[in-house]
Amino acid sequence: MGAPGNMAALTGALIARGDAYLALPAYGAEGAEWAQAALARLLLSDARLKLVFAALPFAPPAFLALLAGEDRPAILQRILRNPAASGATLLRIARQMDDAATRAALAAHANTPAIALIGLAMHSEAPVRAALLRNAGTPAVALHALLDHADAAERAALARHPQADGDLLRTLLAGGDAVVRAEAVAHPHCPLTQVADACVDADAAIRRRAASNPVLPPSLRQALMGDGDPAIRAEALRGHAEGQGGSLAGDTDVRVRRAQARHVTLPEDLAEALSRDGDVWVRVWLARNPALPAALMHRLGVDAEARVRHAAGRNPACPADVLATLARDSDEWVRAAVACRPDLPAEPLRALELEDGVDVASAVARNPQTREAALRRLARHGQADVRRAVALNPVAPAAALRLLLDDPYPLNRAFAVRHPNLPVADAWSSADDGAPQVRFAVGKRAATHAAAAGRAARRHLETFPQP
Amino acid sequence: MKILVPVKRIASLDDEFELNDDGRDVDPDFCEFDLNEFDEYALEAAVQIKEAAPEGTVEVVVLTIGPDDADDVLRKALAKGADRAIRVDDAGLEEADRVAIARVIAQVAENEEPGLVLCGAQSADQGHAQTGMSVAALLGWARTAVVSKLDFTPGAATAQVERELEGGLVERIEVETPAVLTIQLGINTPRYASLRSIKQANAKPIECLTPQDIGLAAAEIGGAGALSRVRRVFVPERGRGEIIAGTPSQQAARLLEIISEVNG
Repeated sequence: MGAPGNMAALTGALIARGDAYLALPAYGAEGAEWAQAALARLLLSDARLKLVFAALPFAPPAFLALLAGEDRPAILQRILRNPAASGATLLRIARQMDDAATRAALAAHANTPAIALIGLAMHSEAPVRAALLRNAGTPAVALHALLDHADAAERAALARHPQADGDLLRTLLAGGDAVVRAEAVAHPHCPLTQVADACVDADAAIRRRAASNPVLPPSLRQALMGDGDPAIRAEALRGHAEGQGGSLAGDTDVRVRRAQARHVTLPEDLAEALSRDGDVWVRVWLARNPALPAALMHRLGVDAEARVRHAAGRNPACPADVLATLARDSDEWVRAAVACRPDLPAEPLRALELEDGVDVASAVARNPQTREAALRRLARHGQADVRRAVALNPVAPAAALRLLLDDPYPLNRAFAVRHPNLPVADAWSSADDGAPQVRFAVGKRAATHAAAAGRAARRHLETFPQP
Repeated sequence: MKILVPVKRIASLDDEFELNDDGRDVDPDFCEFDLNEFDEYALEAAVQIKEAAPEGTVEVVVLTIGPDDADDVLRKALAKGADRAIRVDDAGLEEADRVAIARVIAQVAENEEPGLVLCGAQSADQGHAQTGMSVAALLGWARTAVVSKLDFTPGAATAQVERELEGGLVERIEVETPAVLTIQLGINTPRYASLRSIKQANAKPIECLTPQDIGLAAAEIGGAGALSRVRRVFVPERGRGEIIAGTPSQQAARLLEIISEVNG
């Protein structure tokens, strides 16, 4: 039986089937407005499912708005913690439930409107204040309000909050606490004069946090790259960008050399020295460096440590001949690193297609260059992780995906249903699947398809108006 | 030969839950129901014995006790390789404890005459670990609990089993059959049911029987046949506890305060 071709047919089929998991994605979908009441009756017919859906992060926001009309506190509390709940839904619940737990949940939610967060900042309850400090969306005005009665831990949290503004940070710096100052000088909104002072502070922790400030001016960064403390030199080096002047030089401290190894402005002579470094992590970071010259990539591709060869195999700048060598590596993990790369030459990929080990087979299954016959074989692999990798392959053909519809592992069936290369009619054939997450995926796919068909039909009518 | 596998539809709680008005159980709205994990291993052990035997010589019979909601776990067991499913249900079975449930299982075992009864070592929701041993006691059969390895040829007079003991010791036992064994997690790798077998299982009949059908009197079932009764389920009051927030130095300072408070 084919999938319903339009939203009217789909909603009719969903209501006739009476399966809430299948129907849930259609609630609030474009073109399904006429069936909202019938869908609502179906979706609200079971007390257990209302609790489940209230906590489901994939639930349509329109359905959560509907569910907010329920009077069971357990349902409303779950909606308050659901990341899919809209600001309007949250405020509606807040009007119904004025208690400490609700205020804390509201203060923590990313979709709570700024004006409500400002109002919550006037409350003295510790859980509400803590939630506001954890919420990245809490506006600066609310943070200023929290400052008045902030204890030491809250002042440190205020100093690292992404919405903290220059005035707030200046006030916090004036407070004198070393921990708070360290957080403030690392903040990108910290006034530059204060950051400059921090760069010459007697306290190494303050200088190190200043070195981590992402908008540190190049001159200050250059000065910290010459600091006597290696932790500060390494920190300053991490933020050093191309074109900021200054050059990287050899360093005796391994933390600095590890930071140098991942730097894209690494001079060739220093890269050469680091490629022979005795510290494995220096060589691992170097092998991952996308700016590394091909000659050094060749050297690291035959490094004695498998971790280094694996890193080379994952480097997007790794030359094709090194990839081909790594595809024949004795270590399976190294071969797996290159087996998923779309730029792996065809011949080594064909050899890897024959391997049965989980790591390599999973990587081959995700490779967009893997042949259809191999993907069909991997879709029947004994390991569920390998079969799932086929469903995660962006160009997996329908023939391989169809095999996954009979996979014993429900998650694999759900991934196959969601894949755009699986025809909607095939996805719809799983509408009776025993696993709720699969049926939800089928409903989502069918609703998206029907909404797109509706839009196309409307465009057609606009382009070719009927007489 | 038959192998009887009693299975339970267990409840797993949501992170937050409410209790029923009578305060004796959790509101089922806050529970997810599924086949008891321990029973999955018992079922797999039974199916593996069947698959190793000549075709048609071993029948795996699954049994559960409860209302028609429990058909889900029987269908799951059928999809995983059980041949036949029995559900015993009656309003009089409410208030049954482990012993009262064991009376039903033992009576079905009397009727079916299996060579083995394989139970999960315990239920994942209540964990009494009593039902299997109570069944054995009621039948008067040989019994071994928490079996971690099972070697049995259908029709043989004995089964070889191993149990894990404290200190990494393993006890190897020869058990006369018929016997009741309770199966430990990890004895095998339970299979996933394929979609085709799930569909086939949905078409299979489930024998629905009452206690009277199997030969139990009203005085033996439910609360009347139970030896215990749940009086109250509750969340105990929390002891003193505090999550120390703040920076490491602030946490250390607070920790010192607490130590000072405790030491007076």
